[in-house]
Amino acid sequence: MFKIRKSDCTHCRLCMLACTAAHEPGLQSVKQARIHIEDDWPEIGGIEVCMACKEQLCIMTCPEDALSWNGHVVLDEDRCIKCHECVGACPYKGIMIHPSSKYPLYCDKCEGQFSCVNVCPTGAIKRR
Amino acid sequence: MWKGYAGKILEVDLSSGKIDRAALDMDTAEKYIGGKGFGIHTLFHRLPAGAGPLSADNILVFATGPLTGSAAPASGRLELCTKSPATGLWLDSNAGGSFGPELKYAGYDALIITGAAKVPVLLLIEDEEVAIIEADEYWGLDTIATHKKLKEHYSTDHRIACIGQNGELLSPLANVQTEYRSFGRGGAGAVMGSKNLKAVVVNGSGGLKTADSGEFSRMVRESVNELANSPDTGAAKPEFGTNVILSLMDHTGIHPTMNFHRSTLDERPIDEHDVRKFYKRNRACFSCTIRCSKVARVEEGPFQGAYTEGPEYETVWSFGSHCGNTDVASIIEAEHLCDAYGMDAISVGNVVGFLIDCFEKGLLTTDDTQGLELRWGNSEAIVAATKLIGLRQGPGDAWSRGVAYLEDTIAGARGLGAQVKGLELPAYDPRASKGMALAYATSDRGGCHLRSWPIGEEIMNMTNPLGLHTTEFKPEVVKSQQDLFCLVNCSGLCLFAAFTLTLEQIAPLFSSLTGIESLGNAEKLLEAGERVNNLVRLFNLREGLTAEQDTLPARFMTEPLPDGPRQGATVDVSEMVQTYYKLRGWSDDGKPTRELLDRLEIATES
Repeated sequence: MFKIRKSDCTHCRLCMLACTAAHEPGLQSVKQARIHIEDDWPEIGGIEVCMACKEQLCIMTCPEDALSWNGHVVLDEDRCIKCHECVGACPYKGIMIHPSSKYPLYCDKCEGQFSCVNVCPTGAIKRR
Repeated sequence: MWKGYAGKILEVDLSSGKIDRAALDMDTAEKYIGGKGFGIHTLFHRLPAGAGPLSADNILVFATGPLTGSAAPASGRLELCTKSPATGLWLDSNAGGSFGPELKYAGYDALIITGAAKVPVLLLIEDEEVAIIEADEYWGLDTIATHKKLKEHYSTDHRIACIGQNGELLSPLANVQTEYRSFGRGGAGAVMGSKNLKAVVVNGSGGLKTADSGEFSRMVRESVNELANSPDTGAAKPEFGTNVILSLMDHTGIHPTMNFHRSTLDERPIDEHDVRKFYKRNRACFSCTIRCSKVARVEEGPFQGAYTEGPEYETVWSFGSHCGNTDVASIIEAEHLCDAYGMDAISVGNVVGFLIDCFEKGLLTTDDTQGLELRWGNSEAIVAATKLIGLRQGPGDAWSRGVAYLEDTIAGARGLGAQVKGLELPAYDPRASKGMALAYATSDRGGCHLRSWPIGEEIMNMTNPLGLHTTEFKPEVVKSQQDLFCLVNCSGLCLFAAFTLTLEQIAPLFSSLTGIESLGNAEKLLEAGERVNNLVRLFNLREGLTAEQDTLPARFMTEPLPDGPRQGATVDVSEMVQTYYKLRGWSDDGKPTRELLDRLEIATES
C-alpha cells in the first residue's frame, strides 16, 4: 500500500495534518491522524502507518471480531470495546487511538485519495 | 466560536501557583493578530516600568499566531516575548519546531508566565490539566539531556521548551531551546532561569476549526506550489539550508571577518559546499515544506562525533570567519555546545571573536584566558572558550556578560565591540550594506538582522536592485520591511516563507482560516505590523531608550573596510535615521507622535 523512506522524512508532519483533515474536514490538527511520525532527534524514529501486511495481526487479535479486511482494515464501532489489543499487536505501530472517542484509528487510504502521499514534500511516503 | 485561534490565554503565576484561563478578545485579535503583537500588548500594559529583567516582576509570554498549528506551509512558529537582560529593552525571540502548534492543540493561543518559583520547577500543560511540578532531577542538565529525559518520562509527542546550564546561571546570552530549536538573542533563557522554571512541557489533544475549508485549502495549495517553485525556498534552502548565502555575502564584501576588521580571509573562506559535505539529513519545523534545517555530523578529526541541527549560516560566520576560523568541524561542535548549554550562537561567537581580537592586540594574555591561546583560527581554543562561557567557569563568567560589558571591563577594549544597544551584531558588515546599517541602528531588540533584511532589496531584487553603497530609499525599505516582518512574527508564519509569498497570498490564509474579514486585507495586516512596532517603541522609550542609541558603534564610521569589494567603505547612519523617523511619523528625537498613535488606534492606557 505504502512505500516509505525514513531517510527522506523531515518530521514536518504535513501527512498527519492532511490525514486528520481528510477524516475530520475542516480540522487543523495532527491528533486524529492515522499516520504518525515518531521523532528521535536528530534522526527520525519512524513513519508509522498501516502497511497492509499479510499477517493482519490486528484482525486476528481482536477479541470481539470488530475488525475485517475490505481493501483496508475496517472497524465495526458497534463491536469494538476499545481494549486496544490491536494497537499493541501491530508490529508497525500503525494503529493510532482517537484522542476523545478512544476508538482505534486505521488507515483507509482516504478512499484511494492517499492524502498523506499527496502532501509529502520529499516523497518519503509513496504509493506502492 | 473561534476559528484558527484557540480562543484562550493561559496564565500561570509561579510565585503563588495560581493558574488562570482568560478568553481571547476579538479586538486584540484583530489589532494585534498574535505572536509578537500579543506579547507587546501584554508587556506594555502589565510590566511595571523599570522592572528588573531577572526579577520576579518580569513576564514571559509564549504566543502563537493565528496560522500556528494549521496546514499553512511553514506556519509552526512561536514567539517568546519578555524584557531582555542583555539590553534592558524589548525582546521577542521566534522559534520553529513543534511547541507552538502543540500549545494550540492544548487549547491556548498564548501562555503568560509571571512571578518566580522558590525551587526549580517545570510547567506541565495537558489540555485543561495544568500543573507546576518540582524539577530538581532536571536542574543542571543540558537542554538535549533535558529533552530526552522529559520525553522518556512523558512521551515523545509531548513538546518541550527548556533552558540549559547557561539559563540556570542567568547569563544574558542564554536561549530557551524548544525541540532542539532556539529562541535566540537577548537572553530569554536567563529570564526563565530567574523564575526557576526549567521547562514547559505541553501536550494537547484538540485542533483548530477552519472558517472556510475550501478557500483555505486552495490558498494552502497555492502557497505550497509557490514555495516549491521558488529558486530560494524550492531549491537553494532545501539543498544548502541557510548557508546558501555564504558565497554571495563573501563575493559582495558583506561577510564580516576577524571581528569586523576585514571582509576577506587569507585562506579560502568557508562556502556552502564546504558545509554541505557534513549534512546527513534534512529536517523541517512543523508543517514546513522548505526543510532548511540540516543535521550535520563530523566523522573524523579532532571533533569526530560532533553533531548539530545546523550549522546555520549565522553560526558558520560567528565561529568561522568572525574568529578567523575555516574549520567547519569545530563550528559544528561550537553550535552543538551553544544548543546544549542553551545559548545564542550569534552572540557567543561574536564574543569569542571579540576576545581573540583583544588577545591578538595584547589586551588579554593567557593569564586572563585560563591558558587558552585565543588566536585567529585556533579552533580548539574557540571551542574551549565556548565551554567556559556555557558553564560560566573561570573567565567564562565575565565573558558570558557579552561584548558591551567586556568593552567596559577589558582595559583598552572600548570601541572594539560590534554591538548595538547591548546586543552583539550578526553576520553582515554595516559598512558594506548601508541598508543593514540602518536596520541594525533601528532594530527594536538591538543588533539584529531579523527586523528587516534590506540586503534582499539591495542585491537580490533581480528587477530593480537598490545597490549596497547608496543610502537612497534605504529608510523606506527598512521601515516597510520592519512592519512586514513584524506582521509575520505575529502570524505564526516563518520569515523564509514570507520572503517568497506576497502579502496578497498570505492575507487570504488568515481570513479563510479565522473567518475574520479584516485579517484578509493586506493593508490592514501591514498596519497591524506598524501598530505593534510602535507599541514596542513606546515600551522601549519607557524603559529608557533614547534616540542617541539608534546608532552604530563609532568604529564603523571612522574605520574604512580595508579590503574586499567594498574596500574603503564607512557608514554614518545619522541622516538615514532622521529620514526613517520622519517616515515613521516620529519626532526628531524618535518618539511616536500622538497623531500617529491615534491613527493606529494605540491605546496607551490599559
